[in-house]
Amino acid sequence: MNTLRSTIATAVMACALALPALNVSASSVAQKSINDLATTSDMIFEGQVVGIRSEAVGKKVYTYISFEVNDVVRGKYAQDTIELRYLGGTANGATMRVGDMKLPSYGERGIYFVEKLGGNTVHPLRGWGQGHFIVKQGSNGDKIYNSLGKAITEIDTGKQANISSAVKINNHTAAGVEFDTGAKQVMDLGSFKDAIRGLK
Amino acid sequence: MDKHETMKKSARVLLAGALCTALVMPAQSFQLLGPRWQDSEVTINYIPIVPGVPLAGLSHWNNAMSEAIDSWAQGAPGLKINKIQATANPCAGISNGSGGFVSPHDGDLSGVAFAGDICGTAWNAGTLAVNVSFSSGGFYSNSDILFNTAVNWDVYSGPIRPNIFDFKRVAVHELGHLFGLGHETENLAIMQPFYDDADNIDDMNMEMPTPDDFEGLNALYSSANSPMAINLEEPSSNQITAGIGNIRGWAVANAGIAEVEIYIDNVLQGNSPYGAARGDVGSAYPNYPNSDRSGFSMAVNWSLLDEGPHTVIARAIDNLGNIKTDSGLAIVEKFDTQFVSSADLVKLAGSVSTNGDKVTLDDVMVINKPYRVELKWNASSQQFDIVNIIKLF
Repeated sequence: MNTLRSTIATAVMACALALPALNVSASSVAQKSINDLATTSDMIFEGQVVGIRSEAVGKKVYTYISFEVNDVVRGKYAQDTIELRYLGGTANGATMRVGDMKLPSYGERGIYFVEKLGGNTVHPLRGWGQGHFIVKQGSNGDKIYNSLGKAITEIDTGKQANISSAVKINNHTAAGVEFDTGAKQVMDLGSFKDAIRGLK
Repeated sequence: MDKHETMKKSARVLLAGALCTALVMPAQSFQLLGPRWQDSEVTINYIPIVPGVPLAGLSHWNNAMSEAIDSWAQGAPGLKINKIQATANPCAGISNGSGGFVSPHDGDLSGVAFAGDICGTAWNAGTLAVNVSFSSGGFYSNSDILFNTAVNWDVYSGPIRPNIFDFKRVAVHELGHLFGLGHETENLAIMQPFYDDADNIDDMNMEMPTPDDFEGLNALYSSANSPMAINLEEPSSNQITAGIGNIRGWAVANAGIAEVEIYIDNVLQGNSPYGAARGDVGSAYPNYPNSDRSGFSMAVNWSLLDEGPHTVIARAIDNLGNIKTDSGLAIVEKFDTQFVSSADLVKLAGSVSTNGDKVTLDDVMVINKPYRVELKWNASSQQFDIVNIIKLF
């Protein structure tokens, strides 16, 4: 049966269904500025999720998400794929959940701010959800959304981009990222990447 | 200055503010995570472990944690909260990666700790605290709260102070998750995902659970009996299966589906991906939330199982912990191998005959061994499926 589980795990990746995100519970993560996130991430890339697997290490469970790297927005990375590790997941019939851990789903396209390449952190992305952006195809090209699906309208490269909040936590959006649910002028992917590249 | 002294020092600072942005408060709309505590009873060892401090802890953290628990207990008659004046290491039983444990097993006790890492995994920059929970079959077995020792903690009421985080407020919030509540983004609640700067005066006393929070807890721990429906479409009863296929169907629940578990011969295979578009189910169950996205499907390699019958069970668990199951019987037919790695290893060497909706292929060579393969139209999958594999060797 272990072999069967392993095969199922592999085959699920080819399944047309998107793997649902793990349940969201609480953790407390301070809000950072988009400038802080961009300049302190080891690497920022545009990519697509091509594989998800969970593995138990004793009682602890890790979920490994594989991405095809389409474009390195900041930092240096020469390979075509990257695997990021999230603490938590379901393995051997048991589920370990870490609060506020929102995992990319299978097939998701996005921009990902990797906190530390080869790092051992609970969440692989800088600022957790703040360093996780989703790309969706719109009627006139690729558009950018935050990890909760809210449309991003602008990256403030001025003052707001440099102000981290000492008191805001868990809003999944860095200071300097402007969004508006249902916005008509959703930021396009190219402009978003240009803005991120331009932050100093 | 060591960490606990830093934290103790910061404990002089005061007062309060708000957990959350200001929002109008309409009907209750609490969010539930899915699992809950079995028998509606949870036991928390509430003394926070502080590195370098005796296990009796420090009174201001102990008192704050105790009060945080009490703030929930007073409004949740359906949940029995046992508050034990003791410590329990959140990392007990967690592997240290070197063949041992971070701390020895303690029988799944739930506890609280200040910690320099999360049981061997590093804190991200800016992470203040986490709730880590373990569950199986819709019930929690263990849930813990860890606070980052690198953060400047204090216990205070009133407006939030920059860079000094109120331990008690965060503890109340994390306890809500420990009990099974999710983030509330609509109503005024301690379970809002924000620890904000209180733009609205209504937030100023947001230090304790609100009616919305209690409503959620009571929904989770009342004698829940919410209606559900599940249908395992593949495999159906006595369905012939071969090769790589899907275990699929749909499930709906008034309280929302938390997860769908798949069992083969009573062995859990894992949670099935859930949420695929099912317009037909949406039309049939219009009053169930998200019924039009109620499909589940999990890929399976039937060839890894022995030939013959295998029981498949889909077990849906709703957000209140209610369970509904449906089952099917898969009759596995297989070639003399678990996986044919290349199309070059399959050759059609014999004749093809038809009979109604059945197609028979004779002398199909699979890895140099001959078989007779019968295909039949399957209305469920809308394709010709293998219904018989006969060895000719």
